[in-house]
Amino acid sequence: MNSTALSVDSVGHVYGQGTVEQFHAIGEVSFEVDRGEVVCIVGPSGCGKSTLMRIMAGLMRPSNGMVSLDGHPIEGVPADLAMVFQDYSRSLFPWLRVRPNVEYPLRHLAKAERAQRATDALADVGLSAHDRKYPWELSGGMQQRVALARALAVQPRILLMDEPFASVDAQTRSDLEDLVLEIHAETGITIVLVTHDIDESVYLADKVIALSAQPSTVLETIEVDLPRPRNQLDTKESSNFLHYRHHAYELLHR
Amino acid sequence: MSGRLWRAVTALGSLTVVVIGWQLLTVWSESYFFPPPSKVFPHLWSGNGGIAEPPYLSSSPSDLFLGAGFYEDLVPSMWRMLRGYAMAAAVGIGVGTALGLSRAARQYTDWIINFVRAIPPPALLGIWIVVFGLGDGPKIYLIAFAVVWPILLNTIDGVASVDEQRMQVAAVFKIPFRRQLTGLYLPSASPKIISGMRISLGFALIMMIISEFAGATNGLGFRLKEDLSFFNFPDLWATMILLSAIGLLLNGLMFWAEARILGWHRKASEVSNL
Amino acid sequence: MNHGSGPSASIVRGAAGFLIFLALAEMAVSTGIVDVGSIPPPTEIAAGMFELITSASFLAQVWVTVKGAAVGLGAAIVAGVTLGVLLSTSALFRRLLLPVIEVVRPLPGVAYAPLLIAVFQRGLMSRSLTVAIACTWPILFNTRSGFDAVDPIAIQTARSFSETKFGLIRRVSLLSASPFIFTGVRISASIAIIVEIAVEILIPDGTGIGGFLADAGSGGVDLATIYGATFVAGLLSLLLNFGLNTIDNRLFAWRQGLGA
Ligand SMILES: Nc1ncnc2c1ncn2[C@@H]1O[C@H](COP(=O)(O)OP(=O)(O)OP(=O)(O)O)[C@@H](O)[C@H]1O
Ligand SMILES: [Mg+2]
Repeated sequence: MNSTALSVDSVGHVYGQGTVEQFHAIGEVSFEVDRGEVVCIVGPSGCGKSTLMRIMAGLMRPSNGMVSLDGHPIEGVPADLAMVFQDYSRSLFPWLRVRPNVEYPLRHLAKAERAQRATDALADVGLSAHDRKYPWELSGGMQQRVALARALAVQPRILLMDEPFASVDAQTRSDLEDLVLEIHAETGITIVLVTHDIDESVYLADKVIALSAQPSTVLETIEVDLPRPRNQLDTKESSNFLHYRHHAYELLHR
Repeated sequence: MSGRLWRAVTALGSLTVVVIGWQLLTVWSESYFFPPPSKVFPHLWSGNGGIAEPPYLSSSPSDLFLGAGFYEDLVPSMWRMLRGYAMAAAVGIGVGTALGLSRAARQYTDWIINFVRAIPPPALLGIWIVVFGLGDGPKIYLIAFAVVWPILLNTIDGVASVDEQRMQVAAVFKIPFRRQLTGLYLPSASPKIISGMRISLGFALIMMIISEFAGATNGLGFRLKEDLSFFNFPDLWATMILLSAIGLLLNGLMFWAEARILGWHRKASEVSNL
Repeated sequence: MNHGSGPSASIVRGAAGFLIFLALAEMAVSTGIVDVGSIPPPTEIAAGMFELITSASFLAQVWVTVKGAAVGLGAAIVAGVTLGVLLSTSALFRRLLLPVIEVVRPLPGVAYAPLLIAVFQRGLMSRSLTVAIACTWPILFNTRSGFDAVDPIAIQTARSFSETKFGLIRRVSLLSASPFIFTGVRISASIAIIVEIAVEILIPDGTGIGGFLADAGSGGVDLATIYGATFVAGLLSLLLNFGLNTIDNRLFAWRQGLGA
């Protein structure tokens, strides 16, 4: 059985093609994500990571190449896919409280089922006590956890995360990283996560895709062979971790 | 708290001074046009002086303190205003949402809207009386025509400026279009829509009066006109005071509705302004 | 990909939409889908407009309307800015006047018209005074928000150059509030024309566009001419809007630099 979940095949993207403001964001990018894998995409700011995410989510079509999920080319947003967006303050709905925000994508389900899923997802991210608050009453890290809960509640098979922890403090950030690892270990969900933090990518990933500046190409696909379960102290202090980190750093700062 | 009390006291004080000054000045000048408040306020209850107009209020508890003028002029006026306003809100929000969703539609209708909007509404009163007759129709349409623009333009603006990332959220979670409309576009545009509706409500009161300046047989605007032609100044002043009270009441209602509907918005923007 | 985004595309589409609208209206009316008795076809209205614009007697009525609205607006600018500055700079005035303003403001400006007509008779005085009352409020409130929005650093800077209080108001606050005040003027300009025409209709004596329309409505004048006069009124306020917009953009280009 073919274990490839997501395959990105020679994807390139030009914004505003044929106009004076034409902007070549993605040169040519190819990689594959296996089922149950955690893949991290790292690259400098503005290199087209969010663009690539939107293409993988089926939110926009690439100028060149194609993306397929389970062997089928992506046309529109595939079923079983969920996404956590880069800017949490613009991803939640400020007019809804936390629980209705999480339940928002679940309206097709029966009421009891919907409530149960939201309860579970909020418990997973440790926000059970805050379900009656408005998003703007929460800290940035908590808001991003709500966004994560909303994505988990739809029980996707593939989860895309666009710099989910970029704007939270260091402490919260490592907690959230561990939360992702925990959820991954429990559910075996396929995760593609964008970050510009090399440590984070090595810590989380089975595979790190290092992108160049725009128009971006894949500099290298680094297979990260670190044992799971991982933890902040042992994993990050291991010589293998430092080796991968060193390698990725050299690659991106050449 | 004592600051607020002090402010209330000074406000009340300066109003008292105004009313007393008004009384003294009008008594002293003996002007026919400016009856003293001691004559105007009682006129709200009893329609004497000049040609008798039915009073708005009554001193009888069995009438719930409401006079014939309440039923014959105030209620018809407010009912027309309400219907015109409701029509404007329905059209403004409906069409505004459609135009807000499509940039091409916005561009194609831009000139038409600007052209039609520029017509001063009172200029339509004459034709619409000819076309729609003397009933409530032309008045309601006139009010609706005049007050639809702030609602329409604000709705367009609000719907067109829904955050792009929130639209992507809706797309990723495969929210059906109808639920995107009720769950994303309208709530997100609601601060703008409501602010348009607030502007329009004040304007609706103005247009209600104007619409009764010609081709009307009852209503507060009609009453102003009658009072002028019969030189019934106590009643003219009483009607003006009534209109102020209505204006104040509408403002208060709008303020209350806005606080209820947009509580999330006010607090959310306070937080993000920190 | 880029269709319909540039400024030229939006002008083309705007014009196309407008022409299609006119053509559809023409077709609908001339094929009888819409009751021909109530709406004349656009070409007839345009002919009516042309006839009116070239007729000296109608232009005289347009001038009456323009004069009434302009005088009223002028008075409102003086009153609104003066009151706005007084209220913004003096706590005493705020204490005394705000409560009064709170009860006077809810009364729509047009409601003063009968009283003013009684006192001053029909004519420029009563019409433009009504206009002035209705137009004062937006200017007053915009002046106040303009003063509220003055950058405190600008005031401190001016203070450090030992600017007097009056000089401060005139050279710093008033200047930096001027875009807000102008916004108030623009809002008031449309109100001015509306109120002016409304008062002309209240006691029609044939003067002004409103008087012309009231007369025409009650006897004999064909619908195309009435609609024509209505659209001339629309054209007038369109021109006014356009003029004020242009002035706004020219005069207050510096506002962009303030990020306002
Ligand atoms: N809608 C658009 N139109 C034109 N250019 C765009 C558009 N969206 C993004 N770009 C440009 O494409 C490039 C890639 O954008 P993208 O948001 O994908 O970068 P990114 O790698 O996610 O950056 P960051 O790390 O800052 O989030 C940027 O230079 C950006 O300016
Ligand atoms: Mg990005």
